Amino acid sequence: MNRYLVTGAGLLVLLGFVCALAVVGSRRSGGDEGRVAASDGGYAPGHREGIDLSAGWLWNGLVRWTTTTDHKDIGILYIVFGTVAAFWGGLDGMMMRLELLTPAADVWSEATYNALFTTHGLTMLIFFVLPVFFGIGNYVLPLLIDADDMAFPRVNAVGFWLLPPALLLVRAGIFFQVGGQVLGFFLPPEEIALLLSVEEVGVGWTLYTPLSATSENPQITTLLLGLHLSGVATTVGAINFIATVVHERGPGITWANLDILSWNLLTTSAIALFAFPLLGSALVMLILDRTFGTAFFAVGNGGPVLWQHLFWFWGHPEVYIIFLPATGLLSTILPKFVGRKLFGFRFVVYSTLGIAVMSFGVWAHHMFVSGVDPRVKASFMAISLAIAVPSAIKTFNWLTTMWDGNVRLTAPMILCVGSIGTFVVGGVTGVFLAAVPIDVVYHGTYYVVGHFHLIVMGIIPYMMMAAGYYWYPLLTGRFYDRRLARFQSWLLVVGTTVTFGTLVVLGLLELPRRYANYPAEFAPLQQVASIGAFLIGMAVLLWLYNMVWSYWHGDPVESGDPWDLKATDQFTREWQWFESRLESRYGMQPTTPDAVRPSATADPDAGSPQFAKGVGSLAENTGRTVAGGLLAGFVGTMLMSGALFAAVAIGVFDTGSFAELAALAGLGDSVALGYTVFLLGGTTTWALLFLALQEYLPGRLRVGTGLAYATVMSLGFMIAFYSGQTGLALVGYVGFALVAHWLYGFGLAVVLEFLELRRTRRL
Amino acid sequence: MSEADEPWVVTYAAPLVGVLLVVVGISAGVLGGYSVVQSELGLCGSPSIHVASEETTAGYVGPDGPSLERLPVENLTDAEAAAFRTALDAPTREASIDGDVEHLAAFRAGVLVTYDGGERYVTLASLNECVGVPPLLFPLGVAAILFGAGGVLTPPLYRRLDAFENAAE
Ligand code: HEM
Ligand SMILES: [Cu+2]
Repeated sequence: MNRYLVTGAGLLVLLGFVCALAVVGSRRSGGDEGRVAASDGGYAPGHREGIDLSAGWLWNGLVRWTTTTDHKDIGILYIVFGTVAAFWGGLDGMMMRLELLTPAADVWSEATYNALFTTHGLTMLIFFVLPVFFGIGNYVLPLLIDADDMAFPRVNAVGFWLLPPALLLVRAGIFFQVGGQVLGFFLPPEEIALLLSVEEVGVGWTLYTPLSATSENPQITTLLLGLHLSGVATTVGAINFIATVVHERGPGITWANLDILSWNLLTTSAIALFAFPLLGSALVMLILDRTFGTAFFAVGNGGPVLWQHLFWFWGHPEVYIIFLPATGLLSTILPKFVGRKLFGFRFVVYSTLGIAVMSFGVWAHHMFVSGVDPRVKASFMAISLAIAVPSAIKTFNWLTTMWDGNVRLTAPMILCVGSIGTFVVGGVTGVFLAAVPIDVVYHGTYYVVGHFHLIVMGIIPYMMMAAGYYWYPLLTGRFYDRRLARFQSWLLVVGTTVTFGTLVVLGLLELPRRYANYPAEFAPLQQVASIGAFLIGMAVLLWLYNMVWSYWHGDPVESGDPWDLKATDQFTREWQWFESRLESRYGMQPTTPDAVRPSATADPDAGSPQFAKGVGSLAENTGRTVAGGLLAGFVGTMLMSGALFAAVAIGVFDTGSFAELAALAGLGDSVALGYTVFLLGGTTTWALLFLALQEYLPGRLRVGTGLAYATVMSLGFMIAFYSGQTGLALVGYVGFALVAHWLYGFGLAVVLEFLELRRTRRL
Repeated sequence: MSEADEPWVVTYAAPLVGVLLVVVGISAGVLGGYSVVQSELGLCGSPSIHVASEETTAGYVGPDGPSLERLPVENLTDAEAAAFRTALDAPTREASIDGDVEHLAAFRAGVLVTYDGGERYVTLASLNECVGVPPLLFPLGVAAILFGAGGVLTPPLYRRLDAFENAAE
């Protein structure tokens, strides 16, 4: 035996011993035995039953969980199933990262690597994300909209129970393959020829034809059947969510006060309803091509590009199907820990609806390197760039909600903030890919893997965990370990950033994706990415540990308002339900905080910031505000011109710069035209930008805000209008530019303030 | 002790360093350990070849096909020939070459092997290389995990200690 093996094994035994000691130690000290949880969130009795392995207990449990139609139970089932899938798909991811530690394909074979990234992608996208979101939705959506249950409880159960067989069909290859190898030791190969011919599918999760249509591996057909089944399950679930939100809302819940998570789940379900049946058809066509001799995707008929069109017509909406629920959770959870209502609620809803519609018009951006007419590509490029806008709206609204807020850095909040960060990087790298010339270069590289993992790992699982933390007291009546959770959240953010940031860099170095091996010079970066991935793995395990451990040992909640939401007027319906349950079951009295302040007011210190200080709706105000802004901008620009002309007179500012501005605007190099452009810009663009931004700029007085704004702008001006001044002339130029801008900001602010005073007086 | 007075070094820094060590240890330990196991058990080092079906081969030998080298099966080494014949009948059309490999370059490029009057297109399916890391990585990795575990366990240990000292006061 190899001596290293012996040493290492010895250390491993030691490690096992230490772990065992730790377990025994924690049992013995078992601090919490005396304490009994005083409450629960609805489905389990207040004190935790120990795990009892008698046949009767097991049988009862089995019957209960397989036959339940209670939305809360089905929610839990979905969440557990999705988590199992996540661990399975995550294991694939870890195995890939293990392979990528070394440049050669030496840990697993190339074929195994191909199988890993195929099953990883499918398991994660289809069996992890939506099931967990459907689970969270099942649990809380009826509570949020005050419904008794989902609209079709039994359909709900059926929809869930289609998923486990679907997952097994998709991943059956591993059982066949291993089973064949094991049986191969005992039986002659001829007798198990079928088994030996089955392998895990390695054609890539996009299942591109002709490879997927012509590969002999019978598991491909099984996988297609499994995917089809999961599609049916998703469609059924989506219909149920739509019917629930539309028909089961309790009295008092209208479209106007429907909460943001329900809006997002409704929209997601609507997209799913249109996307998944189409995927189903495409899958059936492919199954027929493989087994029935049809030729939908044969060259001469639809050809490989037909599959790509059908696949991505589902595939891109799917991206938003999995992303929107995460944004819904973020919009729900983040305001609670800032003490403010979600800023621009209505615009967040509109952006969600906008994404839903636009998501069906961008699919061909996944086919920029396929044989598609360049004119078609150009139009898809345009829409793909435009779809960034609604997402940006969401991002700005989240940031604005946080701005100047009373941030409580709990674990869910850390995950919210982390999500915004990774989403911005993931989103912006995506905007680049929407441009055809860039995509042509980077489509086949790790840049793409880095880009989308920043979202599929960055925001989606973050928000699932954040929801888990946020509603943990509601589900279990206990708190999770909050210090561990905060550590875990930071660790997750660090791991994700390291891993997928590195992949973006590898992609920029043009390392191709989807290969088990790579040139040795990439090894250091690949190793960093793998270490980061294992950090993610540790963070996920810590989360799971916390969830399980705290179920028995967490601190029991002391009221129905564990997050102090009443104090900021955000005690939403699911918590009200929880509180009344605590009261009716355990006689726990509802609490009242010492002081309650509204979550939305115009007072920047207290509630959510508003667009404009005036009264009335945004639409009513817009016209008046814009007109006022233009007037103020004009006055400001005139003041500024005065200072600039003085600078010209002294000789530190060159009017030639105005001529350049005119040339830039395509008007030839005339100083007069250039000045006109300048005047127009100062009156419109810069003034309106100030109106949009003023609430978020520093300075409590409007004049202060105006000066701050002008100072920032002056930097850009100095660079743009610089005409080679040196020495003292440069000092003069900078000085005059600054003063000119201050005059502009001053004029702008004073006129605006004056207009507002006049209006409020008259009112 | 309230949550607030625990030093951040204990709550965050020590476990972070610990987790990093554990993670690096896992990478090193698994690679190092596997490399030892892999060579002890003979799980690597024998490349495997794929033998195309008759139809696929026909597509390569026609007048429009690429110009490919031909290699009579008699010229293959015994191990190569054995692998070729196994792959011919194998459901996945693949087999590994357990023995001398002389025609790796030809397989890598793709070659027509002629046999018993027929011919088949043969390519390399997998090089099946051995993990090329020093075996010392395994013990080092496990040691790193052990040290790292210490870091991860710092906060609870610290709390114990703290409670102990305060009790003594
Ligand atoms: C634990 C974190 C994760 C790690 C370490 C990881 C790692 C990887 C790796 C190494 C690849 C293959 C890259 C290549 O060879 O080109 C990959 C591909 C993929 N991953 Fe992940 N992944 C993680 C999480 C996720 C999640 C949460 C999702 C979806 C919700 C996801 C979806 C995908 C998809 C769809 C692909 C296929 C990309 C392609 O076809 O090129 N991954 N991942
Ligand atoms: Cu897309």
